[in-house]
Amino acid sequence: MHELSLAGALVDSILEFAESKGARRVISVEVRVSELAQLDINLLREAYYEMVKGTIAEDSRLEVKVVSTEFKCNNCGKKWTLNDVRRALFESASSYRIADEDGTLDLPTHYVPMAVHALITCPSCGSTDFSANMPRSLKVTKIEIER
Amino acid sequence: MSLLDPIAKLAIKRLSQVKNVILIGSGKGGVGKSVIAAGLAASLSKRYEVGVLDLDIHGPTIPLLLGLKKGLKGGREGIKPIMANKIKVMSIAFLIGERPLPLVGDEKSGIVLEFLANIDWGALSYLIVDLPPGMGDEMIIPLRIFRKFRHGFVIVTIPSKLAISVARRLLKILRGERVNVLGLIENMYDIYPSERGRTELLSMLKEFNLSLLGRIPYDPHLEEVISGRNLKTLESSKLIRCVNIISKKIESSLPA
Repeated sequence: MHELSLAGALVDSILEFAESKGARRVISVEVRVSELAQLDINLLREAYYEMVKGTIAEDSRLEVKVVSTEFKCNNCGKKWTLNDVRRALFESASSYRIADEDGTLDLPTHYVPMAVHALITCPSCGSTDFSANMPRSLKVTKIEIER
Repeated sequence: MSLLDPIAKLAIKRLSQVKNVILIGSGKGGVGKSVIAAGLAASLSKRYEVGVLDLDIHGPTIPLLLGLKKGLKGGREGIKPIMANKIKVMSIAFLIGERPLPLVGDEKSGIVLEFLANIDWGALSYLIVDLPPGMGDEMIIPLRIFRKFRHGFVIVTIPSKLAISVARRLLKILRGERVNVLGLIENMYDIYPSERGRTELLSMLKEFNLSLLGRIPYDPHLEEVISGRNLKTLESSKLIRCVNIISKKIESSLPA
């Protein structure tokens, strides 16, 4: 559900940026979202197009790229993906799932992706010292404007 | 802070209904920040809408102090804090329990911002922020956000030369960043009989033109208070009587 407030913050950010650059209109926006955040992309997109109505971004195109989560153990060098540890993550976080207004139970990583560092360990050596490739749930990577 | 950072923007938006932010920091760990933060929240909550944010992502202790464990609920405006009587409480411990959270670099700044961006505080007269020890990302990132609001920084230290040397470094950062420092709390003053620490502390107050908000003695029953794990036991502690006086001073500097 917090996709709506993320969309709101995204729209506010691009409008502020575009206006600071003297833009007449925003043509396109590209964002990357973390697979770990398990965002509802359709909801994010719908909210974006609704919120840009009546602004200089009204006719803009939003491109959303979901970045697959890749982990690397800093102890043994093992690389793995979210799919490899999905079950372990779900089980580890089961007591800490967050009840949404619509009745769904979200993992803590839905709101704070980097909480994953407390919830899983390296599947090979059990180390807690691993890196994840995208520390933010959402990042603006490109914006095209017309002056 | 980049204009094109929606997460940072959201973190700022989440505080839009917070009238005053009180930051509790020391630079050094183990001087009693969290107990004082929880005590201040308990004291102010008798008169105002208060929230307490445990930003110690590596060693969160506020839930332990207030007897809270888990049970977060989410919604359109993010995660709702858990209530301890009338206090809205948020801690990373509600998301990860007692597990360690080892983080470096961008991961650390990322988690602090995402955490701030997702807390639905609603309207508050005071938000008490229990800052972590150290002066890295976990303190600097929140400072960048909180100094945009009406705020006051409270330094907690013990009268030991070691702790005071760290507090001095912290004060230099705060001065450089134009953070509004309300004053200093001298904690556990009675278990440091040496006059040297006290002299050092008074010299620091003079150097930075700081006021002494209060002196809190060591409470030998504090461990039992903490083990009691609830707000009622905290409110009955010796510490809270001193904190009540300090909270009045904070109120007069930052009216609700």
